[in-house]
Amino acid sequence: MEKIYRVLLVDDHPLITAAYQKAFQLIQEKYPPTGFKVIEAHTLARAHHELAQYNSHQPPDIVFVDLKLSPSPDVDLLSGEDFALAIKEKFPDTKIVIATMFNNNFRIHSIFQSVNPDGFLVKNDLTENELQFCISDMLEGVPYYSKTVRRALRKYVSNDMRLDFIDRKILYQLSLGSKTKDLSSLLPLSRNGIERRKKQLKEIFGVAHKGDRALLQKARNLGYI
Amino acid sequence: MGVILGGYFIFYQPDSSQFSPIDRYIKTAQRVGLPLSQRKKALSQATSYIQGLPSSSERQKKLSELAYLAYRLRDSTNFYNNNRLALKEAQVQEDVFAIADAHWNFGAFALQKGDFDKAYFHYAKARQGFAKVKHRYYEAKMNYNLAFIKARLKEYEASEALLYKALPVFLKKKRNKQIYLCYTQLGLIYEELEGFAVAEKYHRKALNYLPEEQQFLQQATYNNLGLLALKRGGYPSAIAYYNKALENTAIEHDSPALYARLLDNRAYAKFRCFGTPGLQKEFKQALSIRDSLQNKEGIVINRIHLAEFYWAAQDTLKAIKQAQQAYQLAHSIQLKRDELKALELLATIDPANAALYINKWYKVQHQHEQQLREQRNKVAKIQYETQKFKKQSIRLKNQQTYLFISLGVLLLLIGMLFFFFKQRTKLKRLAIQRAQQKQLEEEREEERYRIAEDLHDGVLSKLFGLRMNWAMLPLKGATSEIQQHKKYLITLKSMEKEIRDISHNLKSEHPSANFPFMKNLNKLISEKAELGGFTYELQIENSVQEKKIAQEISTSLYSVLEETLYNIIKHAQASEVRLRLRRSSRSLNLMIADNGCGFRVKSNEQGIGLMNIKRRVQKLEGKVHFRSQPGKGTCVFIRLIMGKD
Repeated sequence: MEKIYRVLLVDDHPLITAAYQKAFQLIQEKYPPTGFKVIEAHTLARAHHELAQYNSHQPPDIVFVDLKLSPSPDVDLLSGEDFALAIKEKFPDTKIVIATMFNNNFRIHSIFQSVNPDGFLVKNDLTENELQFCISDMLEGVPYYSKTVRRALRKYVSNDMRLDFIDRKILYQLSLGSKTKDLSSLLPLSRNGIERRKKQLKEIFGVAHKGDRALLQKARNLGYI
Repeated sequence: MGVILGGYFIFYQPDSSQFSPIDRYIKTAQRVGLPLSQRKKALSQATSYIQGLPSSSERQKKLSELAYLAYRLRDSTNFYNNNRLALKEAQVQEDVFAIADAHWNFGAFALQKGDFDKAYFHYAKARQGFAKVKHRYYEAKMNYNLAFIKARLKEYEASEALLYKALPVFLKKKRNKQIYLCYTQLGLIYEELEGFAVAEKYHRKALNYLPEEQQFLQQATYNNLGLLALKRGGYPSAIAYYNKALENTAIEHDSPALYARLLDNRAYAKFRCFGTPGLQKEFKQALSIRDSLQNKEGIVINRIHLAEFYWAAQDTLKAIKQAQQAYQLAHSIQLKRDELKALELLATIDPANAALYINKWYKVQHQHEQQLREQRNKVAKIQYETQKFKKQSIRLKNQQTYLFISLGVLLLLIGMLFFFFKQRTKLKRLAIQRAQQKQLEEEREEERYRIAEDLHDGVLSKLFGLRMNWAMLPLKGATSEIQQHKKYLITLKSMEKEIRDISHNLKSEHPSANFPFMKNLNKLISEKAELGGFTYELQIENSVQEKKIAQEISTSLYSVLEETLYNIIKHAQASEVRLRLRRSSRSLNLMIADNGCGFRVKSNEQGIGLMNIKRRVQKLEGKVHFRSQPGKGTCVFIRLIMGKD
């Protein structure tokens, strides 16, 4: 019996959605009874509109979402992450695949905590084969993570240091080159609070009395950023 | 040159030959052997000659000399003419000393004439002048003269006060004659106040300061002591004093007046002690000497003594006769004290006319007191006016002082204000420069961020899309070509990674990282030097190679240098700054020296700037050392340990 999967591809670059679509075509050719009804969206507004076309009788089966999308405030979506959360809320059974250029550990962790996607692709890891593996895993209901993601997860799991969200956010911001004095406007902490946390972080990472640079080096090595 | 100089001298040096006739006249007038009329004539000639000469300080001196000579010769007309001119000349020359000197002459002349208030006025003026030119000795002499006048007016306390102003000066200057005169005057004052013991003490003290050249002052003091003893009733000791004085036989010839006085006084003492026998001869001898000297004051006293003597010898007629003669003479020369004494005596020895004498006595006494009172009042008035003038001048002087002080304070304030504003402008410019730099950095950072975003979101995504599409093209060809195609795809993939890394680095880099340190060092210093107005010397040794300095170190070093230069501009006021960067085998050394005002290194109050420098250097595990002392410049040494090249 032919099964038609409803697929939504969201990426601001048509070239990329075209590539995804091609991969779906290849799968369809390989496994003949399977069919795909693929819809592309290149803006968040468009994606929002397309999402509204689905209903509980005909929910989307697989959604590819790029994280970095230009915000669309009129539909209250600021990024791909927001959109992924919106899908999850509306159609909990939909397989969500996050495809992103970001490869830093912090972002990967935070995506797992918020979206917990079924598929997580770092675009640089991708080849045509990987993409096809991912799609077939989705069809079988098995999660698929590309190698950068897998590596990040392993580091995180094997490390017994428990940093909370704010600690990781501090590290992340520092890695972006933010100054400590600017952090208090980005985080719900006072400047002294941030300093205290930084001091704790340095102790945890074994770089007490050294500069921020040593801290970041160590955190990067350990996979936190 | 010599000719011009010579001309100059001829022009300004008054021709001394102008004054040679005067010097000749003065010599004639000074000659003691000549008759008085001839000396006075020479004086008049000099006076009329000098009046035709032009004004000069030399003329002033001569006028003063002539005035003094006239005073000595008791020639009032010539004295007044000369001294008035001398005073005028001194006033023209604005010679305070000469003005005081002229007043002194006037005072002496007035005193000679018994014109106490006039004398007091001039002496006071003279004293003021000498005080102004700080001639302490003459000032003290004037005080003595004023004291003398006060004593004559029976204002003994005032007199004593003045003497005690003069005495310390004379003692300090070891002027024996003046000291002698002061003590003698003090003795006489206490004698009048009937403090006989004190008076005796002063007279004895006077004896310790006998000047060498005047031999008879000792005898005069013995006379004073004798009189004192007489008053106290100590006749034998009085006689002893007189005998002592008369031991010097030269008196009879050299100072007959004193000799006569001593003789008379001794005879009187003997008469009071032993009675009348054999004393008439001594009284008479003294009287005859005084008669020949025309010493009227002496004659009066002598006759009073004789009257008492005859009265005791019970020769009433002679006694009355002597007393009457004494009275008449005293009356004619206005010697009130002795006039009163004579009248008193007459009232006792001539009881028939006692009422008449007593009446006269009261009249004279009254007159005497009134006269004294008038003179005192006049002197008091002069004194008051002088003091008022003095106070006013002090007030004026104070006002002047206050004016100067406030002017000084004002100037200081203006200076400080100027300095403050200059400093503020400098700091403002420094702040602006900093802000500009910061903005520039921010803009640079923003730009970098934008490029990173563009690379990441645009180029990278497109490249990825392209690669994926390309990979899924159903290419057909030889296996080797397919292999080649796959290789290209892999290359493309690694390119994507590279671009992403570049983008990431651009975003996360420290703002000032990766900038040419040396070049910026030079620029930084020259900019700050211009702002701070100092010259600089930058010395980077060849051993320092930029590439081998870690990024972290060069940025920190740059910040430290910036902070140090900021401190120099803001605090040090240096005019010269020297920098040296040197690489040794294990370390990088930076020295920054200035010649500014320095600071106390050990002081606990260290500013944020110094703390920042220390913190930065310590973060790099380096060492920083400040060497400075207030006023001796500052030297900062920074040493950073580096790995081997």
